[in-house]
Amino acid sequence: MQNKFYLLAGNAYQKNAISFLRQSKEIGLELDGIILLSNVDSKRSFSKRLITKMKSMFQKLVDKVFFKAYLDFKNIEASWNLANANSWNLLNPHGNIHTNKGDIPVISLKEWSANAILKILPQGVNHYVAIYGGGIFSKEFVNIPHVHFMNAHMGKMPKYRGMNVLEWAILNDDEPYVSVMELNNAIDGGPVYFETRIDVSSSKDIFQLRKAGYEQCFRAMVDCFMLIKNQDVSGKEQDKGATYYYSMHPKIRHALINKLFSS
Amino acid sequence: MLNALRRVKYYRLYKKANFKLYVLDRAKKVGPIVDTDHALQNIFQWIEASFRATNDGGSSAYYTVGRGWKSSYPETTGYLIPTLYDYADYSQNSKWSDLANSAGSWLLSIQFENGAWQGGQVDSDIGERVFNSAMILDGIIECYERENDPKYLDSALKGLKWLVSCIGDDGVLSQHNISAGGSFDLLSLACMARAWQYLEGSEREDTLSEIRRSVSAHLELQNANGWWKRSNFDYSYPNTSLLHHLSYTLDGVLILSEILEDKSLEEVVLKSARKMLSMFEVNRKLPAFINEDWTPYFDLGDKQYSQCLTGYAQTSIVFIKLARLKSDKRFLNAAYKMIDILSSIGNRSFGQGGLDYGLAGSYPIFGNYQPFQIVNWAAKYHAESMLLLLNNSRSKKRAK
Repeated sequence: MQNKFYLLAGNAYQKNAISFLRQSKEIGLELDGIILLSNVDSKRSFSKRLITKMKSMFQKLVDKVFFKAYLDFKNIEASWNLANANSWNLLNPHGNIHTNKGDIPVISLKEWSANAILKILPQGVNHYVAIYGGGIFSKEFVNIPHVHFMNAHMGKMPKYRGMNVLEWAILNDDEPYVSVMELNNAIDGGPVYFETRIDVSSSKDIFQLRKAGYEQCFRAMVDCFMLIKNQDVSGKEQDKGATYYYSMHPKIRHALINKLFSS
Repeated sequence: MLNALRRVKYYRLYKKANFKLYVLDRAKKVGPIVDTDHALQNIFQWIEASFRATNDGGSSAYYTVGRGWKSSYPETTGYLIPTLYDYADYSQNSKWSDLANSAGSWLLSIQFENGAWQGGQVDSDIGERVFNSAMILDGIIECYERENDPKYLDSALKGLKWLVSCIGDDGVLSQHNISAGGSFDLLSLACMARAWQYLEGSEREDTLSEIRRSVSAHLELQNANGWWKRSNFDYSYPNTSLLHHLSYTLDGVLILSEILEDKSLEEVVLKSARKMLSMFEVNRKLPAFINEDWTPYFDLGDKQYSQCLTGYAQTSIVFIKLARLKSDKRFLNAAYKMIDILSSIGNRSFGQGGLDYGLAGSYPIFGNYQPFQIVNWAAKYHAESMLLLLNNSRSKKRAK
C-alpha cells in the first residue's frame, strides 16, 4: 500500500510544527499535506469566550482583594511544572505555518473528529501523521487502521514513559533517547518505529539541554518518515515492564543541574 | 441547610479566625511555599502550643475549631517523642529534648500495672489498648536511648510483655485494640520489634518468634493488587482504606524490614507504594478514603473527595525511605511534592494559637476524617517527613 506523510498542527504547538517543517525540508522529506487545527481551536463562540474571560477577571479581582497573601493549589502545581511551561519558549523559529509551508497543501479542519479525519485521509493509503497538537487522542482516532498518528517522545521505551523523561534518564545515568511511536490506547504505549540517542554533550544549561532534546525529536520524526518511505518499516510492539515518570520537582531538577553543569 | 447552620453554631464559624479558615479551605487557598527550615519552625510552633495547652506534660490531641484544645493524648505524645528529639538535634535547641523527656516521664506516670497504656485521650475512660500502647513504646524506647535512664527501659519491656500477650492464636492483635485490630498493627509490631532489640536470652527468642508469627498473619491482609484489608476504622466507610492507616501499615512494614533485616518486606511495601505513586502523580492528590480497586471514595459527594493530611505526611515518609532503599528518585520526587502541599497548607496563621500553622485531619477542613480538628499527629508526621529529608531522623534499629 502507498504511504503518505502529513503534519498535524494545533495553535499551541505552532513552534514545534514549524521546527519539524524546517527539518523535513533540510532532509528532503516531501510532505503530502499540513492539517491545521487553528479553526477548530477557535471554534468556541464569541459569547462563550467572553463569559470565560469575565469569570477569569472576576476570580482575579476576588483573589486580589480577599486572598492576596495566599496561593491556589494550581500555583503550587505550576511551580513543579516551571521548566515545562518555559520549554515552549526555547524554540524560536521564524514566521508561521503559512510562511514556512512552501508548496505543501494545507487542509484547515473545521471539526476535530474521526469523521473529519476520514474525509481528508481516505482508505487505500497508509497515512502517517506527525502530531503537534490535538490534545489527548481518543479511541475513535487511534483505532482508524489506515491512519497512523505518530509522536516523537524524548524517552527510550518502555523504560521512560511519561514526563520530563530526558531529565530523568540523565539523572538515572541512562542514555537519553527519542522514540517515534504510533499512538494507541495506552499512554506512550504504542509500537515504536524508530529510536535514536539524543546528544546533549554540548548543552551548557538545562534550557539548552531541553532545546537539544526537542530539536533531535523533530529530526527523529523526519528520519522515521524517511525510513518508512524508503524501507516501508513498521512499528515494533514495546516490551513489558513499562516505567512511568512524572514532572520533575524543582529540587530534583536542581540536583540534576548540579550533577551536569557544576564544575 | 439546618445541618449547615448547626455546623456554623457548633464550630463558631461566625468568629473571624474560624470563618477565615473555613473560607480559605472552601476557596482552596493555601499559604506560600516555604523552605524546609521555615516549615519546620511553623509546625513546631504549633506542637509547642499543643504541649502548653495541657497541664500534665502531654500533647493535646487536637484543637477543635471554635471549641478549643482537647486533653492530652498519650498515644500521639508517645510517638511525638522521637520527632522532638530529632528536632532538638537539628535546631541545636535543648528545649525540645527537655519537652520530650518531660513527655516521657508523664507517660511513665500513667502506665498501667500490667504494662499497658490506655486508649483515647487521658481524660477518657477507655481502658488498655494495643495500638496506643505500641506507639507509646516507640517514644519510651527513644527516651531510653537518649537519656540512658533505666526507668524507661523497664517501662518499655513491661509494655512489650503485655503487648506480646495480646497476640492471639491466629497471630492477630484483635484483643484490647482499636477496631479489633487491623493492618495498621504492622506498625504496632514494628514498635514491639524496636523494644525487642533490648531483650536477652530465651525471652528474646520467644518474643521474636511471636512477633514474626504476628507479622505473617498481618501480611495476609494485603490483596494481590497491593490494597490492604482492615486499614480503616470499623465504623468508617465499608471496604475502604483510610490513607492514614494505610501509611501506618506501610511504614510499619519498612521499619520491620530494617529491624528484622528482611528485605523481602520491602517488596510488600513497593506493591502498594507504586499504586499510590501513580495515583498521586496523575491526580496531584490522594483521596483520604481509597476503594479496593484503588479508586477514590467520594466522601464529599458529587465526585469530590477530601484529603487526609496525616496520610500525606506518612506517605511521604514511606516514599523517602523507598527512594533511598530502591534508588528510585520518583518516590523522592513525589515526597517533595507532598511536603510542598503540607507546608503550604500549614503556612497560614489566623491569630489563634490552636489554628496557627497547624494541620487539620482533613483537607478541606470539613472533610470526613477528624473534621474541624487540627490534630497533633498530622504535625508529628509532617515534621518527621521533613527531618527525614534532611537526614535528621534516627533509625529505629538499635545501634551496634
